Amino acid sequence: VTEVDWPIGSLLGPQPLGAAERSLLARFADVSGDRNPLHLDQEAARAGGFPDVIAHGMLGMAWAARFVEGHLGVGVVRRFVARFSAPVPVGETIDCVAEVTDRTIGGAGTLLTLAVTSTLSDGLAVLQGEIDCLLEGTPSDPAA
Amino acid sequence: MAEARSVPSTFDVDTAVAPMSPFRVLVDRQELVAFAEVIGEHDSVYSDVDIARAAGHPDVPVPPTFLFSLELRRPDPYSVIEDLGLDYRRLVHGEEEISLFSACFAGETLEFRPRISDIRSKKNGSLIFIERTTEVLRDHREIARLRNLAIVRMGTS
Repeated sequence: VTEVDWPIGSLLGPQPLGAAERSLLARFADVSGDRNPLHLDQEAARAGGFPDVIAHGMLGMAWAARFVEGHLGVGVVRRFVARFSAPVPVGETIDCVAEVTDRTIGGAGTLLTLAVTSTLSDGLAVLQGEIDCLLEGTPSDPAA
Repeated sequence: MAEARSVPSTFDVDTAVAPMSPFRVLVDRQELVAFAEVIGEHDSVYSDVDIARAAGHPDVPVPPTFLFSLELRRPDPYSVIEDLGLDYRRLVHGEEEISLFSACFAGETLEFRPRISDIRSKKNGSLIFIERTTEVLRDHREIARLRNLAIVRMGTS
């Protein structure tokens, strides 16, 4: 049985996830299929009330899921809800931090709930969410 | 460039209808690999089928958030917004949720059943909240559920 030592209060990160460069947004539009011109065309972004293009919310979610799986293992994510609290302007870099807020030990393993926050370089939160991860095994100290 | 649509100044959430059709998608390995590369996912289980199989998978796994991309394969993905008389250039995503009940892999055929599950207006009609819920099925069994909350800003707000 694998040990699952992520007591409540454990932190993942903070860790830089990437930069929302214009070329990356274009590539992400291609591979994700989200070709909303808000992410690609400055004129369309201005018509939508933004000074320039903004990053896909889906890119921020993909980065956050990658970040959590990088710490806890491929395929552990069971639920991910994300609120996009502010737009991500093109060129911005994103950092992410996650904190274990709940831990349930059951027959299928250990279910961790993490509060996840992605921020711009000035600290503004752009993505706030919750990720449930199912890990095989039980903690060495279930009471912790 | 498409002709600009006029943005309605008011929107009646009680009479709005936007039917959506179910559709099927074959999960393509090359698309998964390209997605993983662009999002900076360097774990080779997501890009190398031999490594994925050695790890006990039938093929490379679907990165969890890629299901949102597969859900965008619905024919004319923005038509639902236009059917509602809204301008998708004024649409932003407020919230997205995915629940995964089973892992998915390249080579599988998945059925998506999207529906508009809620429409409401806020701030005196200046914001329209559109919630879409999509069941994802494999062999008639639900393996995931997606929820998308889109916000359309009306008028000049």
